Amino acid sequence: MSGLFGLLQMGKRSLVAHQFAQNIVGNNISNAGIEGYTRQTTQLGSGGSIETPWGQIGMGVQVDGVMRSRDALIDKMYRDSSGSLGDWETKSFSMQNVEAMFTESDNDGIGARMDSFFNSWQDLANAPESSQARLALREQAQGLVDTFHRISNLLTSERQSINTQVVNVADRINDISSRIASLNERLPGKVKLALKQENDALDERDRLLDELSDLVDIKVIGRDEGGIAVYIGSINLIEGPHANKLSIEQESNGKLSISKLYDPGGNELKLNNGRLKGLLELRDVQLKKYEDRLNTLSRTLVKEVNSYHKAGYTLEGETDIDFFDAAFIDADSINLSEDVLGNPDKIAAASIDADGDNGQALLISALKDAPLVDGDGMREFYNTLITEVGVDSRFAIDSEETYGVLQNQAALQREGVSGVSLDEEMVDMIKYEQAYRAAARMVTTVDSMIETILSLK
Amino acid sequence: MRISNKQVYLMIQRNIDRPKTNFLGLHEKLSSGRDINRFSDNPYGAGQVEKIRAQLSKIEQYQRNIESGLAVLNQTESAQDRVESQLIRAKELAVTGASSAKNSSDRIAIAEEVNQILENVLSISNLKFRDTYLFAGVNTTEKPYTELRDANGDITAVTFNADSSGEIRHEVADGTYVTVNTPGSNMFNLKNGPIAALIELRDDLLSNDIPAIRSSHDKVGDAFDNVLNEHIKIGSKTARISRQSEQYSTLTVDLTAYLSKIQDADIAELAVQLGMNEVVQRAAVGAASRIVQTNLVDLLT
Repeated sequence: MSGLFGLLQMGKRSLVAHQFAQNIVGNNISNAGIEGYTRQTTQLGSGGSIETPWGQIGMGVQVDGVMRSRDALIDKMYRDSSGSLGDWETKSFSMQNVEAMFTESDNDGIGARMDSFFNSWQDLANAPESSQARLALREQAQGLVDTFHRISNLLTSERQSINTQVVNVADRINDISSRIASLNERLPGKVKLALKQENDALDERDRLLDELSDLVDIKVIGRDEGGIAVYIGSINLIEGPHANKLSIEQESNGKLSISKLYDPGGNELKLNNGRLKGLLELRDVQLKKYEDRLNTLSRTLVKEVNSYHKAGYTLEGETDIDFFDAAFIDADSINLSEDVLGNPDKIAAASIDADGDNGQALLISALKDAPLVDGDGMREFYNTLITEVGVDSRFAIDSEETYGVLQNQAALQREGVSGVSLDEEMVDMIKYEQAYRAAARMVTTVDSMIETILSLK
Repeated sequence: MRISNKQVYLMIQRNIDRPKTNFLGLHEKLSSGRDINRFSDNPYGAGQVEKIRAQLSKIEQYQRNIESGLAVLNQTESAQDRVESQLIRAKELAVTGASSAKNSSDRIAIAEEVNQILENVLSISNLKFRDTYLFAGVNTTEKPYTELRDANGDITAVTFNADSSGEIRHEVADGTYVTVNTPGSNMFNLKNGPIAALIELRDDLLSNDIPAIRSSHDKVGDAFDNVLNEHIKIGSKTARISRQSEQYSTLTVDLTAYLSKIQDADIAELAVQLGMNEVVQRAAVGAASRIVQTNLVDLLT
């Protein structure tokens, strides 16, 4: 359209466009503090042109669309580092709990108790006829046994609580998946500059993807036909509007209730990163390793002490008496034999049937450092265990920090692209306001021009 | 480079949190006095600490063992002292008794005293220490020497109970054992020990037989030598383990110092770090307050 009325239209279009742009600015400013908000920019474009005998002339401005400033590559970086952070954050937290379980003081902790236990065999060797020495020995043995129980039970309950978290996380993953899937129903795929984007819904989906990436290692792929797919490794978790579920099966292995996770294909879930991976590794590998070591220690203790004790003679001349109950050899159940619990005089110190002989007591006390566990002494084996706990814990703490820094970097970069800068918005606001005023000026000018024409006689 | 407001806030938050986290770590070390408060603070150091603790515990035990052994040895030595002085007196009596200046009734009186010495030595042979018989080998709850008496109540013979040999050992160093008891047979050997010699001397005095008295005088002398030799052996054993105990005392001090070096915090250094940390914290907070104040909105009115 040309002519004065065309001019009027042009003015109107400018007013509308710049008011719209101001709206977007206002939206950015209002949402600046919201977690996960992606700033929007109005794309104003030329409103077309028409042919005239004097060449093409433009027809004003129009709103081409609203651009959402998001960089998929930075998103990927952020999510990858989130996955690693989730993994190590979980491990660091749990390992610090585990460390606390093993803490040694001067008279508590398995190491100190083992020292006291074997020392009291020597005290018995110093006075092999003494019931008093036997009472003291039994007390030390009880202390050692109780400590084994305590730590073993703490480990088990840590594993159990991790298992609860595993279930919670799996449920959360399934929940997030269905929410993303329902968002996918109405959202397009990887297009960045679409004209009719539902920015709020896209922000929501990105927030959900961020949360998911903390829990498992995800790969987000846009589909040409619209929508996105989310993969965990090679497992398709979300395909457009369809969410596939992880399934959970309860298993019980004695005192522990383990939840096993299966992918949508029915195979056991294998993960490369994320909180869930951290939890599963803690439960099934790391904490189990410590439990196994404790059990090795308690089994060696029971077996070796008993074998020497049975060869010894008690104060009443009996032999073949167990010191520890031979039916309970694991760390959570190790116990003194009924004989010893009932009557401390059944503790055998002698190698022959003579009250003053202390041969067996000396032999048993020498077990502490004898190379009975893979060439190491029991005390040495334990020292190695707690060094390993320390190393594992240190590594988890350091990794958590490293990935925390990485995630923070990625977050900052993302903010750089998608975050709102109030100063920038202020400038835009001034810009659009001026343009609006100019457009209004134009309208009044054209109006008076029309007035002029209309008043021609 | 584009900077959004949130970026600024994120960075500020992180930079303020860091000195705060450091502060927590320093505070923990200062209030516990320890550099190592958990294994992850220094895994290798924590392992060392455990090793040293185990060693200190072992040494403490060896000290106890040595103390216990010394008690037995000292008791043995004092018993030997008494036996020796009794035997010296017996020798003197034998000399007097062998003198031709004495007559048979004198000899009967001397024999009385020798008999008394015999009773003393017998009771020493059954000496108890801490409720157990000192010279009974490993059968410490059974009396080692039993006497036979005649119608007058005098000792005629002494028998040795069960198996009173056997060594009682204590561990005083890794794999090093010391025998702390003295089997009765070493001191009161029934064939040629003090008891047999004394019985013979008494009987010879009673029978007024001078050459026999001279011969039993020699036997008492031999018995005395044996006891003395045994005494000397025990003396050197005692000296040896006492020396070991002293070495342990020194070692304990050294190990404890080493333990402290690994474990304990250097308070002065921590105080300095704390001060530096505070400076950093103030700077971060100060800078933050300057940045957040600058805003275009304020200027556009």
